[in-house]
Amino acid sequence: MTVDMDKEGKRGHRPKGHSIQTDDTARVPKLTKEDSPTTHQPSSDAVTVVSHKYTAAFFAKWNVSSTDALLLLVISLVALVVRCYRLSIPAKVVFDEVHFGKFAGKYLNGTYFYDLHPPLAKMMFAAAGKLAGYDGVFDFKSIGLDYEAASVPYVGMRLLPAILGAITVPATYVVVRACGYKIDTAALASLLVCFENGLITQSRLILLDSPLVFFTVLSLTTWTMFWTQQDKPFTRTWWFWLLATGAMMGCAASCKWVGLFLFPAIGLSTIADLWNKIADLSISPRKWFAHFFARALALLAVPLAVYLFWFQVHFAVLYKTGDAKAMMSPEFQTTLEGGLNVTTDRDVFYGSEIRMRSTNGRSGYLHSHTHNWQHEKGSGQQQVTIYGFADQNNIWIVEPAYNKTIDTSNGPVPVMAGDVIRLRHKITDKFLHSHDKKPALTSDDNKFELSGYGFPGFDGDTNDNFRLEILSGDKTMEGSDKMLQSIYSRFRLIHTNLGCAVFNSRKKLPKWAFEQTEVNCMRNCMPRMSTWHVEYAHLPNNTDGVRKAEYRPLSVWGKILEYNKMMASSNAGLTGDHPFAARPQHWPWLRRGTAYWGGYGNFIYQLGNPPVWWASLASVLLLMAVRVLLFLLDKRQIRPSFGGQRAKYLSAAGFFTISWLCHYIPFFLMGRELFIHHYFPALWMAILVLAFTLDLFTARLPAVVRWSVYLVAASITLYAFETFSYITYARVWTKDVCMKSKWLNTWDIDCEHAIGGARSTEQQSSPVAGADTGVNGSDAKQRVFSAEAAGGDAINGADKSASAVESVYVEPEFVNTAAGPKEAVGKENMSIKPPVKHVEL
Amino acid sequence: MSVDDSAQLKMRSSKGKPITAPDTLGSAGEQGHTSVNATSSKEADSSVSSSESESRRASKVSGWVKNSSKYAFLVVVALSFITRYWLIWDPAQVVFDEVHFGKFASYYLRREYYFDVHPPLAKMLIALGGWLIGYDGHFLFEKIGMDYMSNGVPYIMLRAWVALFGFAIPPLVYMIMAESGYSVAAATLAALLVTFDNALVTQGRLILLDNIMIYFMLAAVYSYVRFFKLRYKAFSTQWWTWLLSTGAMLGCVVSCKLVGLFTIMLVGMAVLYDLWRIIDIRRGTTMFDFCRHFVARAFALIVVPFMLYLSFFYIHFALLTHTGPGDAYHTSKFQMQLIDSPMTKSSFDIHYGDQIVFRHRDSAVYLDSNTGRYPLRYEDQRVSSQGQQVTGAKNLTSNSLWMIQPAKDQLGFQEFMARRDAGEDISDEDMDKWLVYHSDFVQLMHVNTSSILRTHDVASPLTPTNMEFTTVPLNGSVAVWEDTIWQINIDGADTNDTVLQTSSSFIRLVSKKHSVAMYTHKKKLPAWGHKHQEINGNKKPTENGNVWTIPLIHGRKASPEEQEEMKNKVAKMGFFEKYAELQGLMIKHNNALTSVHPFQSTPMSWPLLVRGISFWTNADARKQIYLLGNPVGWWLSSLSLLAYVISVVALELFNRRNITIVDGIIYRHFLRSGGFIAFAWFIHYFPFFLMGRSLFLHHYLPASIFAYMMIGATYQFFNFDEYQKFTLRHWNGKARALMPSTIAAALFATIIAAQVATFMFFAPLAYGTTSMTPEQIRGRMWMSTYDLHFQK
Repeated sequence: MTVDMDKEGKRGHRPKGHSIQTDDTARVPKLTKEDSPTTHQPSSDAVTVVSHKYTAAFFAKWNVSSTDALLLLVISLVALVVRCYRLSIPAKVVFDEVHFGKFAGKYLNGTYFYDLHPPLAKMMFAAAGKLAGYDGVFDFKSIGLDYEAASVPYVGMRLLPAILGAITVPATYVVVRACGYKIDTAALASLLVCFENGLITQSRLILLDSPLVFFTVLSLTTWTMFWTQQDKPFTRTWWFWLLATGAMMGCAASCKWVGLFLFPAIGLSTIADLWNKIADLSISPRKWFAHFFARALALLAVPLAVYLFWFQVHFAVLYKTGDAKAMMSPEFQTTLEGGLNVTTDRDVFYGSEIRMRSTNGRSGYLHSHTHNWQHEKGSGQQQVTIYGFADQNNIWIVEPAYNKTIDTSNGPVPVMAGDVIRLRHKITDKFLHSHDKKPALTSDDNKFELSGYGFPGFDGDTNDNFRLEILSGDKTMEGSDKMLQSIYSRFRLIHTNLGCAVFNSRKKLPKWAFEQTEVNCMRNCMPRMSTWHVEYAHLPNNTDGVRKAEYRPLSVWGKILEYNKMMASSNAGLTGDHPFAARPQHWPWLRRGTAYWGGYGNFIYQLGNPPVWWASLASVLLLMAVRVLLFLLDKRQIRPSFGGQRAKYLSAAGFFTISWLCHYIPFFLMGRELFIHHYFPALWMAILVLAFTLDLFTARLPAVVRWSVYLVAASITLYAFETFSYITYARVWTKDVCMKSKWLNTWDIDCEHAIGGARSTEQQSSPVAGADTGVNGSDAKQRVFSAEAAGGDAINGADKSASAVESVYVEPEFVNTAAGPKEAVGKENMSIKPPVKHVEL
Repeated sequence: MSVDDSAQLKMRSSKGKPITAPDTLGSAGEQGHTSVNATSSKEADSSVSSSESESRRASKVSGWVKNSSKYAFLVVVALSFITRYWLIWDPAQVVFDEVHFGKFASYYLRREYYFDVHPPLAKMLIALGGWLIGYDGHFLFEKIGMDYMSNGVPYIMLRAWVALFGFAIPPLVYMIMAESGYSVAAATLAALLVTFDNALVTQGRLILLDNIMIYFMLAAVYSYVRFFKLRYKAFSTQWWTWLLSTGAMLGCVVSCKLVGLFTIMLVGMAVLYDLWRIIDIRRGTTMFDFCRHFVARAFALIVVPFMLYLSFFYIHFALLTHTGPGDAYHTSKFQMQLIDSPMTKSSFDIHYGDQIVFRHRDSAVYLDSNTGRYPLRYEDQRVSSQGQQVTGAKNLTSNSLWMIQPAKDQLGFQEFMARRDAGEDISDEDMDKWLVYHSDFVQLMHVNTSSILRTHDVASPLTPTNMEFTTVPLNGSVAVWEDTIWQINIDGADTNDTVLQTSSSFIRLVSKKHSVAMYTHKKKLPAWGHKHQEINGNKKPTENGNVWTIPLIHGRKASPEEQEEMKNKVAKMGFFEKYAELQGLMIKHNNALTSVHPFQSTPMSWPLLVRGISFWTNADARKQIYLLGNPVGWWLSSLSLLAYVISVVALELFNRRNITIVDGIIYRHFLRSGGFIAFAWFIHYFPFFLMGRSLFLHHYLPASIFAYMMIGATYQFFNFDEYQKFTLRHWNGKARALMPSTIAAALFATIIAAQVATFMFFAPLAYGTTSMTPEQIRGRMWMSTYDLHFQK
């Protein structure tokens, strides 16, 4: 259809006087002189154009029949039943519901939070929760918590992904029909999607992937519908489907960034289409530009607008400050109710008391306290760190350089750019100091320790001198790039002797430094992590005409930008060793699944419908092989027509294969932790290719044979669906059957949870009975419990108090910690009680 | 993408009369050739007479113009020589990566085994130079800035030898350009720009690999161009010569650095394109012809390079016969192949009852236990078993002694131990009954505390996902018995009759019950754990961090006879086995090169030359060598690539509307030859975006050469329209030269003048021979990101 992989079929580059050949010409005779143009035409290399008629039939309008309507109704009902069956089981927090349920609650409370995914899907869950009567109190704190005990309307919330998942099934039907296939193929394709265990598992739980798959499927559905309107451009229907595609793409990208892969998929077919259109001399340049801008508007501007719109809603709903505020910039925090509220003197003078904040690190203030460095190569002088809370230990006094005095008789003297200054710690009276010692956490040659140094009667030395380098000021605040102003001036402190800059390393210090953030002095560093600004300044006894400064709240665009930048860095920083993480090369052949939840006698293990996965992969590979072979055969002028199916097969299956590649190959380049559910959008595309391939092979057979083939395919699918429905729906299973169902020995389905398995009952004989590696997160707690119940000899006694091996089952897309190890530091700092007393300012 | 389409014309000119194109092509519908044929058939009748008249005309112009391509070439050679060899003896100190490559050359001359991530050819070539001048390899180039003079290193000759390759680069650029159908002016332009590039000059005069690699890369491209031009004389001797030469050069470039794979991809793509044209039925090629073409290329461009690559490794192993610093990277079997390897001196069979020591392969800590216990509560409020600590200690003490005991047949073992302790003389046969084999189940008793190693379902102190390791008293309960059984898995052993040995066996210790492997990592325990490394049970048994060795048996030392005997027992390793092992390690370590270097950069920044690399400094004299390209040249070359892409896209769009702006052979040459250069640039540049390892500016140098060629290509496209006049030329001056128009000549002069001026301006940084004042240094910071030294 869209990216027409069949090059000759669409080649618009037709030389004058060239006659169109019919497609059953297997071997075109050598072209005569007249056929080969004498002018140079670089785009076609060797083969002159051989065009075929088949494109016309392909875009024939799909006339919806009553059979279609009836089937759609039946399919929708079946899909709904399949998705909603046993929706209430388990009545426990499963897998990542721990995150997304919690976020839904935060939306309902209006409390700000940070997550590395865009907001739409989570807001949908919040809406579903609201409708179902969820009040946002239950906090989804850990896997295995009971919903019923807390009377959470979880079924209502799970109903949302179930319904979205169900809609993808009739949508599949529509896509296949719109691609020009018959009713039976469309029905088969929707059956394959309907009974795909992986998609079902995902759509029964409060997870983001069901909305993502839903919007991905709808984008491609509307896009194929758009293509049925090819012959009547700029009509109302044409516009409707085009704009709908853009809107759906925007929604997909607003659920998860994986939705962005739709852009290359749909974009490539658009480019190919425009490339063909430009060669069509019957389309005037004006018309061509109309085509161009219509697509640019619908497929780029509309999705962007939709994406931004959902973020607007996101920030409008989340108006109250929350735990995650500390990860955001001060300008961001001031926009939240109960967030940062700072007013300070604007100008900084010699003698001012200041509190300075690391501008990009988000980890807090330059801090010192009466404890000394303890690391081996350190000086043993007083610690200087970065600390997240405002207290008196963050207060420094600006003083002139060593052995210099400032004449203040004519009033306070402002601190200017380029001045050499010293910073005296107000409480301990020590100067900020650096010297040729290694900092605590690195032995890098370019990094030096920062310390607080000095004692009564000692006036410091030149190692206390720092040159003030103002990087930028606020444009509206005149002079803020020349003289130091609170909040408005962004500056660096350069140690005059060592030439190093005060640098926020964002690393967490050891316990003896209270796990605060390390700050050191680094040579040759980029300004990014060595930029500071003054957040509070006050000159005692200065009363005349003090000008005030405060943070400018970010506009909503600024907030969106900051949030998205943070999402990018969080995503990149997501590395972990989740036991069920899987690399892309293992996905399509279903090497293994993901354990979601384990109960007593029943459990959920995310595994696909194996025959569907394998067959769909095979058909995608087949298409690619066929395509390459056809290119070669074309060169030898052999053109198999596949019984007239060639064009339809190559364009429809070709488009979805390219979409499959776009949704699959990029994952190979991602270093972050990946899971098998990242394959689902691609899986849906592969299933379509499978249906098209089956159609291709059976198109010319008698109807009976064709339907038998379809029936066999359907039976195999249903058989596999039934076999694995136990782990899909958390049905009670026996260990024997479970063991037999491990078709591949790489499937680590934990049959110990099934009836007859070691972990199928609550009473366990030995506390360490089931210490194998594949246990479920919720279960770890129960095992601790049972371990405490068990008695035993001296050694077993030791186990009584032992924490069981913690299996990290939660997908590590965990909000606060997942902000990347670096960003997380600041937050963790907050929870550590500082060693010195707090004095609220 | 093809290099040049002027072959037909060329052939005609070289023989003075037209050669009828092969029949296979004559009736082909291929447009390009049709057009060539069309023009040629018009000319055909008059070609004899026209060539006569032209030669008459040529004799009127002066000899200088006539032979200008020869002179141009000589100018390039001379300038290249001067720029590369100027003050080559200065500085007389180790500069940047001479630290590595000088050292490796020394190891070749000392015949000591070393390990490096790059293939051996370039380093062997450096060593060859050293060997020719009689250098004995005594100096190990340990640190940047070490003095050559006082260490008696013939470094001038070494540098002069390596600089030969750097010296050859600009002439090769000239030859490639000229053979690809560019005018003397365009070819000279590209070659002179390359001559006056500061980065290439800096690299080209030091003992480094890149210039050797680039030399082979260009030689391969040159050979391919020659080969391609002979495509209408397929399977002739010349054709074969250049085809094989291409293959040989590709083999050499990939044997210098794995980056050479990009060059192989370049030629590979060009060959695929070529084959794509050949298979077209309208050329009249039979499938048999096609297969001949295919097989010839596959042999010359796949088999030949690979054979060469292997043979360089063969030489590598043949040269490095003695034990050296590279031993530790390899398996014990490999190490035992090396003369004087400590492995062959102390490899004993281990028997049950031996008191042994476990050492972690990667972090070299010893499995240690002491009377300390795990604290009840950790900082994160998790609780422990409070069992006896098992840790990884840096120092070897008696706390690291473990007695290995069989898990079964305890009775027979007790008896055996009793006899052994009593000092009875036990026959070899009886001893052999108690050998420890691969996949045996064992228990390990900590000798000092008489307790047994155990792992159990308790989270380890620092890594909650892993299992805690502890020990239990000897007479513990039956309930924990299963926790104390371990399986010995020897890496690489597939049958159960492999005996566990000291030094040479790499083992994994896997819990029978829990299937976790003994593991340690760099995380240190807090004070209660004596700052030892944490040891725990890893659920992924195949991880590298699980590998341990047993360096010694307590109280066992080898006598000289035993040593001799062991030497003879060493299993011989074939070349392919050695090669496979080394290749695997090279890839693994190359990917692991992620440590942050202060002067690394991202690929994005290279074409704009955002930052250089500090190679060497001399603080007293305020001199420094700073690798930096010629900013003018680099920016211009990036610009020309952009211009190329924009022009092609625009012209293609017009073509699709049947509007012809640039016609015929000029556009075709621009598209194909320019496309080849653009693709060459792309393929030598883009893959770096996908690499996770730390990258440096000098990784861009191969691509930068193609970018310079693109300046020549666009210069020609925008300035010349008499295409035929220069396609007939040969690089060494057999054909006519074309005088450029005034504008083109002025442009030529401007570009060269700007390049040379910038080169001179930055030359003090490239050569490191001039001391500069802070003002001068700051004046050279055209971008604030050029982090030069001594700015103040």
